[in-house]
Amino acid sequence: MPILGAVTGEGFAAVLAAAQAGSEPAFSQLWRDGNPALLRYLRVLAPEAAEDIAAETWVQVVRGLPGFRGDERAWRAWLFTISRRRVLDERRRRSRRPVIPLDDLPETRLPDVSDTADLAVEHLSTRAVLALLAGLPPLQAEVILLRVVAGLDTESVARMVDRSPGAVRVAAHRGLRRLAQIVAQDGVTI
Amino acid sequence: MPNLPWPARRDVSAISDASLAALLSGLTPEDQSAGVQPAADVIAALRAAPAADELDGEALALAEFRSRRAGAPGPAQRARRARAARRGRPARRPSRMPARAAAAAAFAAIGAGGLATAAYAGVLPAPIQRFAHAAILAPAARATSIRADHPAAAGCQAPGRSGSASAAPARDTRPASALGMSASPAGAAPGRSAGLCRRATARPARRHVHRAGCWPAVPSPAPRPGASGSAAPRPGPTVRMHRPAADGPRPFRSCAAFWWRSHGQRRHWFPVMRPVPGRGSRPAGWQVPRPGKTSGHITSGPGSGAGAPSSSKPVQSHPNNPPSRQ
Repeated sequence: MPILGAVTGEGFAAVLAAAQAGSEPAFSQLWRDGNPALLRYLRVLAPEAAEDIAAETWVQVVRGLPGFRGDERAWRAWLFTISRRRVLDERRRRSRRPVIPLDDLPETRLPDVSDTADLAVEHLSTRAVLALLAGLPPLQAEVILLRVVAGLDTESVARMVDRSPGAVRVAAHRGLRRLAQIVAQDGVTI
Repeated sequence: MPNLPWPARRDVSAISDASLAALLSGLTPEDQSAGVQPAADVIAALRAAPAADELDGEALALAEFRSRRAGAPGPAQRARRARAARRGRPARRPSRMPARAAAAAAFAAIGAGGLATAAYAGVLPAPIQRFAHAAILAPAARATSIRADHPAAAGCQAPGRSGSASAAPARDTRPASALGMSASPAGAAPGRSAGLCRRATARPARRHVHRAGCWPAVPSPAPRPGASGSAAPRPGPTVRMHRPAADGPRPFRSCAAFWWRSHGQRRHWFPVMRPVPGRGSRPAGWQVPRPGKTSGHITSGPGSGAGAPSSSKPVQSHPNNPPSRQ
């Protein structure tokens, strides 16, 4: 049963108002709803700093929470927009000083793109799908994540990635077809 | 269908666009063929229940939320500052000054700088210039105009403009008639100020007789007979000069004046071509004057110490090469 996307549902407005008023359970509910999707998104876009970027995203969310206005879809778009900007900042910082401490990273956090077939044969779990997504072109992977994991519609994704809705639709379809092709060729069932 | 020699496209998928759109939107596609199932499995895996490691940082986020509500820096902020300190950079703190206040401060600073520059250049209106003079020791305000019937016209000079010889009358505030200026204007002020007095009283219909920054002392070609202030005609060249000999520092009236005084008076700013009459077998032509050789042909008046001209055609002197420097 899919649990990501529109978890809070009808009571989102009340939960958001309580969190803005300072209710810790309400904020915890928002965090539990958003953080898994955020981490899945970040583990494809910035696998080396996904947890750090997620923490920075939530710091900024806490800072801007009193001034946020909107429904649940706007909330998720805001959350992932903040995260995407932090990813771009991190990429810029790493391009200036390319330091990759490989010893500090556990192997399980590294997306192994070359052995995707082995991963798929072994067990096609969420992490394996994320590894498959990391092998796609960046735009296709990001669009699929924003559509599926974040639960955003095509227009919101197009605004976030600064592309036209048609380009977003084409990228999502191509990426999903490519993923289905990989899974079908390996003969894997989940 | 035509029998094409090339094979069909390989990227044509068995999954239709409608099925993909339904899958991406979280709906069940109508097409339940075998080709759709892998894509549905991928999407289901992406939307699976969160793992334990994806819910690890809840306590940290709640601590951040709690500390933010209390106004103190949270653990994530402290960790970020610690990381920045380890990297040798100061931690980036949120600015306490709003953007509008910063923009207003920058605008005010630029405006104050420009005002101060204008004040030191002496180009502000008189009241503001007086305030700047009192506040930041900018140059004093100068009178922009003196009416002929104004008491300051009795002295026929502006403060600090006519030099030391006529400084005393400038502070005399008695009207001109009390000083006898209307009857004998040129006799009231000696020297160069006499010329100004003549001009000031000769044209009473003009509202503004002279600007305080003007130099009134353009030597008259022919001294007025009977003028007692400058009774003895000055010997010297009768060349009408644009600028009299300066007897004190003068402010600049404009940027052009500044440039002219600092650059335009160089003697050899550019070579001056002057007509030279033919000597012997050489034809007449143009020649660049050499330093040390007198080639000017300035019409000299009686008693002038300049060399006798070798040509009968006089050459009007140029402000670039004033005859007094030769």
